[in-house]
Amino acid sequence: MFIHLDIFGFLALTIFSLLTLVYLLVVQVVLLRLLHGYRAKQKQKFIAVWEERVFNYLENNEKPELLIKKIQRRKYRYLLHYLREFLLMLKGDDFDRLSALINQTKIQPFLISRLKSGSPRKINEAAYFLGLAKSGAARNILRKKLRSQNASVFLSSALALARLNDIEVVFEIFRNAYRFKFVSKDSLLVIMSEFSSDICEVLLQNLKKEKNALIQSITITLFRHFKYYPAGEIVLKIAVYSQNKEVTIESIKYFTSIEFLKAANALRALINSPKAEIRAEVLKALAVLGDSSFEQRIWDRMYDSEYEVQYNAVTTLMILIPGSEEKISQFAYGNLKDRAAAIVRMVLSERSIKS
Amino acid sequence: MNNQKTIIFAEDTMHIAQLLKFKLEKEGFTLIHFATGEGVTEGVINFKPDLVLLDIMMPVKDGLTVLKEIKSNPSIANIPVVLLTANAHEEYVVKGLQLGAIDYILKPFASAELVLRIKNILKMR
Repeated sequence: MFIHLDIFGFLALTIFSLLTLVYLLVVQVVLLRLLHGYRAKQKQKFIAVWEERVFNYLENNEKPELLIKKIQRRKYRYLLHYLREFLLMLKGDDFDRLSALINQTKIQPFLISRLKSGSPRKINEAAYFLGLAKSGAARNILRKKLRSQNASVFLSSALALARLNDIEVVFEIFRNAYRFKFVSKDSLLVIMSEFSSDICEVLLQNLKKEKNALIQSITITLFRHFKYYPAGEIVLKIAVYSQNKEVTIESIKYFTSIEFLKAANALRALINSPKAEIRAEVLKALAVLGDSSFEQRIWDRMYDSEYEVQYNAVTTLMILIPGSEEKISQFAYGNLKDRAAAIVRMVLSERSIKS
Repeated sequence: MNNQKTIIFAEDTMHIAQLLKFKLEKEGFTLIHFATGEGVTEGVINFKPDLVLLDIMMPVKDGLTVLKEIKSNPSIANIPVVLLTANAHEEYVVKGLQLGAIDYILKPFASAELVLRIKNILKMR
């Protein structure tokens, strides 16, 4: 049977459908808000009861399973979320006692069963807490998850393995990251910086043969993060020959952070780089690594076409060359029509505002 | 006479603040907690605590600004200030020490060590 609709009928039907859709959306939003409010209240109630018990547990020698025994399984997640900040911000005995609440109780099999589930949400949450508590028992399952086709599962597993300091998987993390378009340098850096500084030795051996600019750049950033000195010579070779701007800039930042004076000669060449970001970074580095022999080259950069380069030239001269402030002021106020002098005046006034 | 020492502490991570309160009160200190940097200087002026424990990274007003305010007010400048900050923000520690902080504690920290350091600072004064 066909229902014949004229234009008014069609309009009425469209409006009715839209109103129904809006109604359903409103109902859904209200339900979600109610659910969220209920969960927040439950969580608050849980903390009100358990906070002092957890604090007392930290003070005495109570066995972890005795505490966990009193918590219903459905409330494990409340406890885990409550423990999160502590596991991130405490170390020593506090950390050991709190991680034992996960590693030496029924919470660990609970999390591992979630890690083995098919739900990315459950896997990510379980990986997060198992990594935070440094649960070695989850290592093999987490390693398998590095091959997941789901980017969030890959990332959460990689982060957990980094927190477990599983150095054997460092390059597997790099290799697998390439499968996902949106896994950025920053997210890889966050993961890699969770390893201990032992990672640097492995990365240094790899850097000697590594051709990939992204991995070179991440590696050098990590050397800086861990203040790892032994990589100075290798990074210097890379900085001189690399065609990649980020690799060169990261190298210069690394030299500055470890005060690698041998890099000063390389900086002499890089100060005239066609890339402004490199020139600016070189000038910043010279404040730490340079000496008076750089004075003229730095003065030349006052005439640079880029403001940041000029700014760093003024700042570095003031730090590096004693008495240069007066000379810079004379230059700035003695050449009122000169463009470079005008910018130096801006830099000087900006510096006086900042100080 | 009441010999209980008073500590003002500003820490925006609530659970950590609760734990510190629990630990330090157990050691006999009186704790006054601020969840942001706002109002801390006024609190120090009003309560004249024996020590101030300041988290550097806080909303509204950061710990270094509060420290600067405390050290520039002669009536409270001699109150020792200890900084608490994340490992990743270690560079702020130098600035804090230059501004007059007496000590610093990096997160992650061991609560027992924090309590001991606070006790030692107060013992030395």
